Amino acid sequence: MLEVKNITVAYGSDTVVKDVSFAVKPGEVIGIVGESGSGKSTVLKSILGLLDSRGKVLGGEILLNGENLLGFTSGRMRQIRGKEIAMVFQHPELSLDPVWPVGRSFYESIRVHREITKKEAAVQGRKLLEALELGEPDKILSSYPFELSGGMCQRAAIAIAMANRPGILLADEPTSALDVTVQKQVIETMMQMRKEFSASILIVSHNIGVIAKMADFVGVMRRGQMVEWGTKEEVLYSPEHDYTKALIRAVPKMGGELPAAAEEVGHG
Amino acid sequence: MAECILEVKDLTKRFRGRDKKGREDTEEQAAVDGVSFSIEKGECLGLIGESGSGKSTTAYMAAGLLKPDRGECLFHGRHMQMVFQDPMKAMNPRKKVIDSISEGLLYHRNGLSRAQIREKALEAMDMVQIDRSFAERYSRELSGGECQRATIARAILIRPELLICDEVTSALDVSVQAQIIRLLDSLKKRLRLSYLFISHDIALVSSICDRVAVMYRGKIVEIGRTKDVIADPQNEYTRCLIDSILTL
Repeated sequence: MLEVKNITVAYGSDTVVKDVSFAVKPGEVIGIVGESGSGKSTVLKSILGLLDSRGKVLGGEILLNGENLLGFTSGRMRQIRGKEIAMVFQHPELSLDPVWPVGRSFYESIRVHREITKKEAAVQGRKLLEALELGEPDKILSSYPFELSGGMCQRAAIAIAMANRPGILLADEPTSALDVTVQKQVIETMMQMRKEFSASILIVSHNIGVIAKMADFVGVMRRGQMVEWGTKEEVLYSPEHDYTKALIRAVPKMGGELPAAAEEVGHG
Repeated sequence: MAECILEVKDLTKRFRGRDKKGREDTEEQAAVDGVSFSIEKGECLGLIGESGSGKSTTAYMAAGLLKPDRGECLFHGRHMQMVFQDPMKAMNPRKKVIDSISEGLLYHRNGLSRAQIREKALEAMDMVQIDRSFAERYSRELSGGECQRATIARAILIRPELLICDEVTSALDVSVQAQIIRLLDSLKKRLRLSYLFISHDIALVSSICDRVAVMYRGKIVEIGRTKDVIADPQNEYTRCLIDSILTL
């Protein structure tokens, strides 16, 4: 349903994504891992047309159900964003409007795409939060983002992202700002949403543990290139590329051994 | 019992929170509530817990950067040093790397000349494996990993007995994190350093720490040998923490 074909993206004269291709099929969870500067977030931004003014997609295609998103006008992209493809970010308290209660964010994000009354939006919001078993949905809807914990805020943001029943949910480091115990809950929320709406998820993270938990297919990015791609089992448990191997060795594991610092990964 | 380098007894710190309208709360919250532990010479004690559990407040009090409301810290050494989470913020952006690293010896001079101090700083750079050519650069010209190595060089320059590491790898990529952890482990053996190693990552802690203390809401809920705590956690929160770990 979403196909990224040979895209190359540059900020000014700096090429940060080189010839990256992958496909997201219905119901799949795709995980992209990579270290900072590998270009993984840029790929997500390119899909949504959210590159900043210096960023430009130099080549390739991004096909949503066969149509090239790169050829769309900004007005057309606004109809896609949130409706067909929704996104959650690393800092939920920054992605939600601080002066709106959560319920208002629900209402506004639905209203952009279709006529709805505030009452109906509140009913839908409550239904979504109830499905997530977040407890006291009315209290959450009437709370401002700063009144909620980081994890609660992120789960509310995921529910808001799903309000228009998008086919694809993009997630950029959705758990990186959260404590490990909360991280697990947020992952469960995303997986629950995927099941409920049979949506696909494209998640980008530096945390290989998160990707291992969620993804069906995994891509490994390094310096703008996709160095390895395959099923989770192939990439994470029998990696072929030296960089993937080094990356996996560097992940601290429970039980006492020092993580391996392969020179191949290079100095930070 | 082996010799202690640091003894912390009944450490307590209370902060006044603020309500929704920004007014000071009338009631104080205990950020750290009766925390006691000790670190033996050459030992690495891990302090883990989620955000707000009081790990950093404990570290600041142990380092003497924050005055406890109650309790005491007994340090049986000459020097202790601290390494922080964000190396870029920990380095003075207006100083050359070598000058930042040398600073400790300018205060604890022991009759050394400037040239001797510079030589010692360069040796410290060798120990943390950053190239001597970085000496004349500024911290912004270094990558996060290189910059963290420089702050470690600065910390070990005066040969402290204890290093307090507060989330020193949290801002770094996983491959760089592995390098820094290996570096800290080798320095521990080479310089017979003791560590108070603070992290939220229990898997990471399990790789470097001899013992681990688990903090939750200002209290230590469990403390013991790392292997024992991981294999057979006694406290419910510790179990929850271990269950939440996502690793390969």
